Amino acid sequence: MSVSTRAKLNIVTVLGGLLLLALYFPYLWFGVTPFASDKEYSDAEIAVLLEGTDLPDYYAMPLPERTPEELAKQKEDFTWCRFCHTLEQGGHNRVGPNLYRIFGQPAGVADHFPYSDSFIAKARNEKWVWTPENMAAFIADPHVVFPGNRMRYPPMLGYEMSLERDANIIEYLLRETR
Amino acid sequence: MTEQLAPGQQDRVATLLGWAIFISFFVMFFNIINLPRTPLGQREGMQLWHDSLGWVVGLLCLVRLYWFAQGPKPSPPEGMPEDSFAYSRAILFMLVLVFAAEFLIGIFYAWGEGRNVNFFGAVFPQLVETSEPLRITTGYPHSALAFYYLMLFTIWFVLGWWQNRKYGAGWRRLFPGEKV
Repeated sequence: MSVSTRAKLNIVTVLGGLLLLALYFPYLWFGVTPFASDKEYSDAEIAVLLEGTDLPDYYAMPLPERTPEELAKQKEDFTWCRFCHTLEQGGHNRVGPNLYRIFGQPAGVADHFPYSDSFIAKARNEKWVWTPENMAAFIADPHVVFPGNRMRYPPMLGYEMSLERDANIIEYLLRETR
Repeated sequence: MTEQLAPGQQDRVATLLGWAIFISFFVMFFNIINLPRTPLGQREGMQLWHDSLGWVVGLLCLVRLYWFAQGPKPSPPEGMPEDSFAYSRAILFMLVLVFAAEFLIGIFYAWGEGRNVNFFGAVFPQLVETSEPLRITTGYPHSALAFYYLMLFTIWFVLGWWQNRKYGAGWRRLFPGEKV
């Protein structure tokens, strides 16, 4: 088979160009990066980040009594979050960081998670701590609250935001991350 | 190899491998579509299928790559220039290469997240330590290459449509079988 040099160049250009485009897609679509962070936060570092805050222990507070139907609805409302986040102690970071005992924690302290620079800058400048109120503000409009952050939420076009669902998500998080 | 192939035909080994890869990947594709749509914590069964079919597709593709190098080389269908045929062959080769790469990267991804790789219940032991950097740096290309083979499928059919229109190369060659 004798293939011209021009055809060979075209093939390499097209297939190589598509490969480069494909390599960009996971970042574009899911907000992930190919690089892990080696950052681990010690208790002392977290204590410094929490200095000046006076927050209750959210996990010591009782949760409202719920019917099985209400609990099922909360779980259903949390489904989209579950694609990217683990909630269990020691759970892996996935597309998003592990959220075990997130409430009362400073933002951006999950070990090894490659947060965006803009997320960390805002979290540190504003000493952002995950209270239920801050979480509600964040999930209501994550790209306004943390401009430039990579969380892809709302998860798809046409996904209608709802305050009721946000409240369910927060209570589910409080229940499942204790 | 000295086997003489008619224009637009490929040999029996390549044909059988083509069918085997097509069928196993087709089954796996449903798993690939549904796995990311399944919440974490409910993926164990699907993951076992993913791993097992990944082995099948990956190993078949490694054999197919060997056959690309060692097997008889097909010539273009009647009327199709060598250059145009080379595009089809390059896309096909790249598809097989990407599937093989997905298989190998997938194994390291599983090890990175501390998971044994299953083959229909038989466990392939973890040979590399669990590591977050390994998980992330293999997970990213595992995902990116999936986008890549979707692009390759698309240009495979677009090019095939155009080659059929321009050279009358036929549709059958776009699917597994003797025709290339």
